[in-house]
Amino acid sequence: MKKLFSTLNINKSILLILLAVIFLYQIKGGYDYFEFSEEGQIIALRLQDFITLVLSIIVEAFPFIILGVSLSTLIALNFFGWLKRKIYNHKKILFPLYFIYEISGRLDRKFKSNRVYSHVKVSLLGVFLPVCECGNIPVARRLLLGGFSVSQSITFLLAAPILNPITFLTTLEAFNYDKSVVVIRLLAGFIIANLIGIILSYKKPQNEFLNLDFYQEICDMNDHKHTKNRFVEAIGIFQREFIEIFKVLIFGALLAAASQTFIPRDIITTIGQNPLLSILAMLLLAFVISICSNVDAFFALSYANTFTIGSVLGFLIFGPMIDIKILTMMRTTYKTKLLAIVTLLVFLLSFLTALIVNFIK
Amino acid sequence: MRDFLSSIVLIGMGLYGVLLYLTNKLSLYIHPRFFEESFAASIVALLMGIVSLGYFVYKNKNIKQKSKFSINNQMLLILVLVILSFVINTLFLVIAAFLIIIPNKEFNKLFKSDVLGNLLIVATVLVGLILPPKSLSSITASQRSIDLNSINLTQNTISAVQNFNKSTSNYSLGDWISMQSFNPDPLYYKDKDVKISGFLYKPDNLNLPENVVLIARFVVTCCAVDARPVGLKVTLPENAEFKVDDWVEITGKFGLDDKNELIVITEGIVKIDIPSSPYIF
Repeated sequence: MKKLFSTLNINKSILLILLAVIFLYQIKGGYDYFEFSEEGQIIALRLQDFITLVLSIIVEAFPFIILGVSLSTLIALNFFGWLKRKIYNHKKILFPLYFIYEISGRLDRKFKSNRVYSHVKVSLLGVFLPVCECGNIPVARRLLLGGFSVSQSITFLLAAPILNPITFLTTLEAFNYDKSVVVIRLLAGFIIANLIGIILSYKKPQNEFLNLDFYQEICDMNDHKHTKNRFVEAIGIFQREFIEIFKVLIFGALLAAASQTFIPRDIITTIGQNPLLSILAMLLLAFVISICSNVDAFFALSYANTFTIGSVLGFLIFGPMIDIKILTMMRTTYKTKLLAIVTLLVFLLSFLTALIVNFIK
Repeated sequence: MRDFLSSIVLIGMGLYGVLLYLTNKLSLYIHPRFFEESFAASIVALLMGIVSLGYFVYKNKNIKQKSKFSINNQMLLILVLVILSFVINTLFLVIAAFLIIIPNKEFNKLFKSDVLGNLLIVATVLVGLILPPKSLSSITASQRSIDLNSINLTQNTISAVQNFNKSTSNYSLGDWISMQSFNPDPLYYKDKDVKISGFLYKPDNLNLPENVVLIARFVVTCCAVDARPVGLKVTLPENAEFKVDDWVEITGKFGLDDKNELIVITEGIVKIDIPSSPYIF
């Protein structure tokens, strides 16, 4: 029996689910059922909405995936090293950038092995890479390949969707009447991401957190020599990274859309004004809905009338860090155990933040 | 194999994005603020796909590699059984399921190479390209609690409030909904002219009288996943033959119903086609 389960991998279960669907279809009476009976028509409509939802998630995430994969390719080709050399050569024209590089270089030398500094630095990377969460995954994978520790990459993934200029501007636009929401969101995102990264950094060796497939990729990377043609290399990296991420994006979209179609949302949203339950409801909503962090402020705004302000903040903090779509995408890189720890920690910390806000305001 | 698939998917998704943009169907899926990004990304994907496909063909011409792709016997048998189950008897499906569960080294190897994952990608791109794009229906609305009152729509409210004392017949459903967050008093709206379009929807939990339905639309802030239904109550004229999910345009005046809530007293009602941009942004 044990052997049976160990050979049942995820692809096989999908195949079995497919068979079960066909089985149900035939038991119900096939095409006639969906065309002529009222119940069948409702199921057909639901299926159609399900497809619309899946496609909408994919269409929405697609630009960010392309952007993220392009950035990841640039990092792999050592574009930023090239940029740094250019800036040092023309420091009079490009002095603001030179200034940033120079300061970060000095800080690097001074706090070489400081745990807090190395995480804080990574958490601020999002300011320069304005991509939302789905675009960040290829970047984080590339950073890991480039020698980042697992805890640093987690800090980057958690912080970058909140601490980036686009998210800041849309939150400011949406919550124009209450600027404290913006401040608390940014601060909480910053603190939670760093805290979790620092906690994780105490675990040694870090590579135990990585998915075996991805670990293999890191090992291969070290033996790999650069091919002579940079352009050809770029195409190869772009293709491989894209298909890897796109595949899991589809899985994530299927899961998120299924949870949307089959779990009635009014169960979640009728809770409203209770200071404790409203937070739970909004966090659950953020987990299920998998909305892009760049614009989730507008969505949260439409709940600001009926829900407590703390719960809306909880949504704004928890949503960008963890949801169904991101978790499936992170599975390509990290072990499930790590993801469970991170999810739990983020959940508790954002719950705590929301609770504090609810009691103060 | 993976590189080839990647090029094809890049081209497919690029084409899909460009087609949606050119035919104005993107608004069925995402908020207009993403249109340009989506279009640009599709162009990049299309170019990358074509270049990488060209490179793939060129590389294979030089190396003359044999194709490693072959279909496993067991997979073939399962496929035959599934087809038989359609033609003869459903029981064949059970045998197919057994074939999947039974451990078999060669068969497992096939799954290691992730054929199904790749098939899923191709299937998704094909579904996108082939199926006609559809907007969400009232089925989804029934999954999500409907708002009859205010919700905050920053952009709409400002322009609506400024023009309120002039003619109100060009107000859309979204304008009326966002006006109510500015002034929730129903008397403020009484006897105002209304001309709005949306789909008809009758939720079970509101206990509406027989001749009253909701005229509803979805509010979308990011993509169709976060769509929230909003609506206004309307009276239907007697012996009107309209079904739930029909798109209609209603002209009439605001009144109050027996619960002192806002309701549109319908004077004229026409069936219309689904508009090209069915959501409120």
